[in-house]
Formats: sequence, structure tokens, C-alpha cells
Amino acid sequence: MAVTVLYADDARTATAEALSEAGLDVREAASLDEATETLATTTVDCVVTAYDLPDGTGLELFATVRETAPDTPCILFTGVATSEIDTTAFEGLVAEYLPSGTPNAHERLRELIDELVTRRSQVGYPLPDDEDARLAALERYDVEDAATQAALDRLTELAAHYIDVDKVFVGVLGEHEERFFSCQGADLDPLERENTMCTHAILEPDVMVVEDTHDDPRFEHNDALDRLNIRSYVGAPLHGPDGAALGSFCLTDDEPRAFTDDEIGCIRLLADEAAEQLDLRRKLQAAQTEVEDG
Amino acid sequence: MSQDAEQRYRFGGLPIESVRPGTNLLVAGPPFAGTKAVALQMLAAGELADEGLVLVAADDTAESILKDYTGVGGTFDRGRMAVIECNSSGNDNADENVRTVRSPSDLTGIGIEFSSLYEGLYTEGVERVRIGLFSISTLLMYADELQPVYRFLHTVTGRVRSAEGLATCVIDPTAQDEQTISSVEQTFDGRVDVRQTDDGDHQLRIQGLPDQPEGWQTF
Repeated sequence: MAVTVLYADDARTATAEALSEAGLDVREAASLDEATETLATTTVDCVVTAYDLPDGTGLELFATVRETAPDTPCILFTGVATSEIDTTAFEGLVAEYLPSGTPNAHERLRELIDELVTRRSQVGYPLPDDEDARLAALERYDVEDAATQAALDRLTELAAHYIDVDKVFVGVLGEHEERFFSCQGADLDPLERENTMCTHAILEPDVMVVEDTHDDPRFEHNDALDRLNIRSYVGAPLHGPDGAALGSFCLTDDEPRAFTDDEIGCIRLLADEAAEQLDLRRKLQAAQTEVEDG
Repeated sequence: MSQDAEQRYRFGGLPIESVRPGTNLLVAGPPFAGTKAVALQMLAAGELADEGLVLVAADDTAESILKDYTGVGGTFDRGRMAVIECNSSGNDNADENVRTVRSPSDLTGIGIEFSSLYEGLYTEGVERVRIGLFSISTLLMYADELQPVYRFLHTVTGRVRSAEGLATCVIDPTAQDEQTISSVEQTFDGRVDVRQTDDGDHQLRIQGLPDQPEGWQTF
């Protein structure tokens, strides 16, 4: 599938043409307003913009990107020198900069877009070593299938019954966001990966326990967790047969709390059971498809 | 010797075997153990092969880090070396190779200067570049949230991987808890720990990279 690029500039149409010719799906915008509108309606893989736009700056556009689709790589493609770029109100955005006067600038821009998209170079969280393989493995699962959901529901219900917490769920980590299944306690909407605790849990070899999010530098400034009333967390990774973690089996509470070894052991068993259910059902679905097709 | 072996990055007198191009190293150790000097020495070894250098000085002024660089035997060559300093003292530097960003909290500003310098060296035909970041601890201390720091580190290490460079990024384990370090470490290919023993020996240990000496090495 072609990489979709939002290109904002009111002057350099040659750049948009060069990128289109290189096989990219280019959405052009002549102003900050137009670019912001495009972002609201289209999923893009990369944002390229001039610094000076008729109604604002490229950094204002990046601020919108970081709010709405934070993983998206951003590139300032401009003739404006770095010393003239005012980053005062935009300290945490982080973007690439490519001078438009670079020799072979269009070729270099295309290379840079490629690198940023394939390497996920501007994500605001640590990535597993095998992220491509992990996402490919995840593709093979149909977590939303009704029978799978029923099986996971039984496990989260058991956890909620025996361990005193206010939420239990199965979190699945997709490319940019986490989706929550079989929620006990409250239904949760998908959340950007940079704000979820499972993003960190899948990097752990075993169960991740956070007794107080306000006392852990990874989460203490995470407002999204406060909005969801998450103050304590246990997450056990759901390992697929090839070892990659698809997500985690999680319990959270609105108060700081410790978890006993017994509780943690029990959560580990439930996570292993959930992972096995997911995998057996994947195999069952694959076998059924084979029979039907055969 | 194969061509591939010749292109590897070497580390002069330190007990570290050469590494392949595109390697990002986390250099972890407390300031008193001489961690910064080790990282600078790893960078200065590039001079033997006429490599380029970009230093990000978040802890210090450009003047001070260049003094330290000279202290480990390096020579700052403006033709292929540059520094980004992060202070608001308003040194209006007319020097193209010394860039000033207002504060270590301005990761967007540091990132833009970094890309600009890296692109500039590449355009001038300097293909092999070493990067030094001093230090991740300072960036973490100034940042309100961790996400921009991860984003910045991915940007730096991503550039190093695509451009087949080498990065040594310093972190102080006495300023960060081990969970933060291990999540930051995820972005790197390997880790060099630095320590000073009770007898006053300086030692380092390499983890995560193939074909390196095992355990603590005195140097």
C-alpha cells in the first residue's frame, strides 16, 4: 500500500509532484487550516510542511498531529534557517528538519520519509526489538470473534471476582493504539500507545506491577491514566507461540495498592490461559477456513 | 581483512572491540567514575579515520565540552565537527558549528539542530559520523513527560541507523531508577557500563553486542 503523505505549503508544488512521481500518495494543503482539516478526515503516514504557512507555522501543524495521531512522523521541509525557527511553545513535539536547499532535496526528502515510516522513528515510547514480527503475528488473530470474546470474558470475570480491583481487561497492542477487550468494571475506548501502561508491560519478561503510578517516573505525568482513574496496575504479557507479546492481561485500581505473590501468580496463570485460548482459537479458525476453501 | 571489517567503528585504546556501522550505544555510569571521559574517548577515536562528529551538550556549554574533548586527546576540527549546546545564557555564537538551543527541555529545538548538522555533514561528503549525547539524564530531568524524550531518542538513533553512524549516549544510573533506564535502553543496540572500583581502578563492561570482551575490563 502506498505511503500517504500530507504536504502543506502554499508555494512549492514541484515538491508534491516529485513525491507523487516517486509513488507516494500525496495530499496537498495550501494553509494550516486546510492541512488541519485533512488530518481530521484522513489517516496519513507522514506529515511534511513548510515552516511559514499563510495562516500559521509548520510547528502549529505538528502540535495538532501530536494531539490526534502522535506516532506520525513530522518533517519540516523549509528554506528557513534553524536559528529563525521559534520552538519556544513547541518544546516536546520533536520533528525532522530538512533544508529545502539541500542538493537533490526531493530525493533526500523521499528517503527521509521512507526511513521515518519504516523505522517508526518518532514514536513516544519504547518499542519491542521485534515490532514488525509482533505486528505480523497479531494480524493472524481475530480477537473480536464472539467465541474468543466469551472465553476471555470468563477469565477476566474470574480475576475480578477473586482480586479486589476496579477494572480487569485484556489489552491488545496494535501499531498505534491499544484496544481493550472483555472489560470488567468499565468499558474502555482505544488509547494511543504512548499513554498506555501495557506498552511498557510487553517489554517485560514477566508480570509488570506498578503499585502507584504517581510514584513511577514512567507514568507519574501521564494524564490519560489519571482520567481513567488508574493508580495501580498489574499486567501479565500474552505471549504468542513465537514469543512476541500481543498485549497483556491487566488489572487496575483507582487507589495505590500492593499485590500479593498469590495474586500475581494467579494473574500469570490467567494470562497464560488467555494467550492459549487466543492461539487455539486462531488455529481452529485457520483449520476451518482451510476446510471451507478446500 | 574484509571490506566490512574495515568499515567498522573502532575505539582506539579502550577495551572495546570494533562495532558495525549504525550502532547506538548507551553509556551508563556515574559522573565520578569518568563516564563522560569514556564516551568522549570512544568518539575521539574516530579522528584516526577522519570521521565527522556531532556533540549534543545538554549538561554543559560548548566551550566546556570541547575542553573535555581536547582533554581526552581530541582535536575539534570545524570542517567535520559540530556542537549543540543547550543554555539560555545568550552566547550569540556566529560559529556555524556551534549551535545554541534555549534549554535542555527544548527537544524540538535540539532535534532540528541535530538534523540540520547531520544533513550538512552528509552534504559535505562526511559519510561516517559519530554522535555524542551528554546526557540523557539531563534531558529526563528537564522534560515534563517521558514521551518527548523517547521520541527524541528514536529520532537520533534512527538517523544513526540509516546513515550508518555511531552514537554514544550517556546516562547516569544514580539519577534514574533502573526501570527508566531499562525502558530507555530498549532504543539502543548495546550498553557500556562504567565504574570506578574501591581501589580506584576504572572499569567498563559491554552488554548486548556480539564479539566483545566479557565481564568488567580495567582500562
